[in-house]
Amino acid sequence: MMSSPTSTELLATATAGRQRKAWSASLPKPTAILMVIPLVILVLLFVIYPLVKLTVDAITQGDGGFSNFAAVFASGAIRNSMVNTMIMSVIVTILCLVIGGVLAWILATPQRAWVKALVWAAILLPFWMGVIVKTYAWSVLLAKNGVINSFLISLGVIDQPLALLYTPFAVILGMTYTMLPYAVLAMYPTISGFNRELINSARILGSSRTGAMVKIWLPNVMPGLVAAAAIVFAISIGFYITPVLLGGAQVPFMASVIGDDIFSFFNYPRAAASSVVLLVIALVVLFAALRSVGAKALKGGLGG
Amino acid sequence: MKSRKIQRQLRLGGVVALAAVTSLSLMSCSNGGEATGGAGGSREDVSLVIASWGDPFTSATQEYLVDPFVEETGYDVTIVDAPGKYVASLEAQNQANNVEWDLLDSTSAPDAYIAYDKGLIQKMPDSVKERITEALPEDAVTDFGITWSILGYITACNADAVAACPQNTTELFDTAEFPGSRTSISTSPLVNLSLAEIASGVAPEDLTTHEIDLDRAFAKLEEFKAAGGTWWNSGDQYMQVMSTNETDMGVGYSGRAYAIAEDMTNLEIHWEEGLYNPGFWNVAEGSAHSEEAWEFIEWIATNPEAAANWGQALGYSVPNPESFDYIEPEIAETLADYPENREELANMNFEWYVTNYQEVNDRWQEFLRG
Repeated sequence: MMSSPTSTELLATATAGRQRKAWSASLPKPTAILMVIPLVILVLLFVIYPLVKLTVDAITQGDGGFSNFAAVFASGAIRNSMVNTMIMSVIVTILCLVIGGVLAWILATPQRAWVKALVWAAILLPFWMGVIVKTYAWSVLLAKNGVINSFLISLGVIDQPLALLYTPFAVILGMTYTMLPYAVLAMYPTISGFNRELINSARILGSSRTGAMVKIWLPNVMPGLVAAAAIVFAISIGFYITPVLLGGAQVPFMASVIGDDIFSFFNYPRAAASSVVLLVIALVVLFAALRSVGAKALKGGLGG
Repeated sequence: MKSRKIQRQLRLGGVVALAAVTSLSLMSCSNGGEATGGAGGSREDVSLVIASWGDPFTSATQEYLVDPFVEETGYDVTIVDAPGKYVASLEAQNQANNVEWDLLDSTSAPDAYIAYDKGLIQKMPDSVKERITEALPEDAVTDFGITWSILGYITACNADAVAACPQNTTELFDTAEFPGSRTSISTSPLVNLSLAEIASGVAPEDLTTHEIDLDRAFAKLEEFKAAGGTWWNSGDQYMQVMSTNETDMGVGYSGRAYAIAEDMTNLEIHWEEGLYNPGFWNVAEGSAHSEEAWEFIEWIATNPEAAANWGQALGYSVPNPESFDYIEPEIAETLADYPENREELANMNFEWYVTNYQEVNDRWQEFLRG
């Protein structure tokens, strides 16, 4: 017959445990350094070195100095694509914040299990799909004889197919669809961590519904929003395949122009300089995000 | 300019030294081969690396060219995929002083001419050139390689979408007589400018030496662009743009046009005033086995049946006229070197492009994206 442990026995075990060294998440310094070294080497070799090389190339190749950068800004094609890249990325970022914020809110509030499962699936499935597959799917839907146009014509809403593909609209649609999971995943931790009772308290203390959201909810989830915006924007300005496949030549992104310079127009020095410009913009945005909400808050926003 | 020349001389010096070392090592190898009684001069320690375009190119090159060649020579041949990156990659390999490739499969013509100008690919040895010229037509052999995987830039039009289809390049550029949206290649200024010049009245047979009048050509292209439509940047995108009715007519690769026509019965294809678009086989400057690399090029140039199998598998034309004895008639008449097609196609002035490409490319980018 098994006898359940008496309280004295339990106490004894616990004391024995306390005598051993308490468990801790932090490692001794030498072990920690040893474990981090492979990662540092990888990053140095495959991230830092190529970026440094790129920057050096941009300054030393061609006529050298800042001539390559001057060539970048002298080209109307590159200026146009730069403005285009920034505007479209801002639009995509705003759309991702709004739609992603709503989705994250739905996921963070009590829902029926199947609703949650459906929303999670809708967010994560495209996240796991390849970007080319997603983009081709959109081009099939948006084509002149594609699903959307055929449907609208059969309903009698339009009699001539709309030009949907190879427009800025198609690019924004495709990019928002691709970036949405990043936005939701970046915002979810702060939004779900928000204590709803605070809104009730604000209402009880006389705040309006909107006032409570703006004055209480927004500041609390701000780090998550900033983190999501920074991530979405920094990735968006580097998009290549989606603008090419859905926008065509009429909606040029910086990356397409850089690709052309390398692969079609034999202008590697200018491509390097354009890349550095793009990199600097991305870094400035990320650092500005860090400064505005603080590294700790941003880390929280990323679920770290 | 001067420094580039000096650089090239330095590089050439390096190549000579390298060649000397290579031939020394080859001598010792072949001695070793004789000692072990190797027959037929087969040197299995020779390894060639071919840069190719990825499937279906790579598979066809492997099956129809490399496999039979390896069987004969015993060399070790590997293919790496580097679609569209030949010039950029060779420049990088040269900078790193580590040329990894020996052969380039179907380099596009502008790439090949510019790579030669930059000293990235080798001049064909005179003895090789002499022997190849016996098998191939004169214009299939250049200083730096042989033509291969040749296509036409042709006019294709969806007869269902418009009242009248243009029958040639001049009509394709006539947006008033032949209304409808248009498409063309976005990555090749020379092709578009050449076609615009033909549409402005330059005789196709003069095109190969004609210096393009940029202002006139771009004005013509503005009309073409104003008709609406999109610009494609890959054969896949060309097929998509045409087969989804996104544009009504335009300039495209002949092989792709026939592929679209398989599903789209009302696609009209016209070769008249089109452009002959050769690719090239080249040997990389700095190749450690250039002698064997040229041997491979000579082999494919003088094996019309292997070339025919390759061309038939991909729908690309090959330079050896004898190859057409082995190609099925219904495929043959879709190829650029089929006599009736060939006589319709004009040759582009690549030399002009090589000397002017910086200005031309800049203006093209402004035109397309400015």
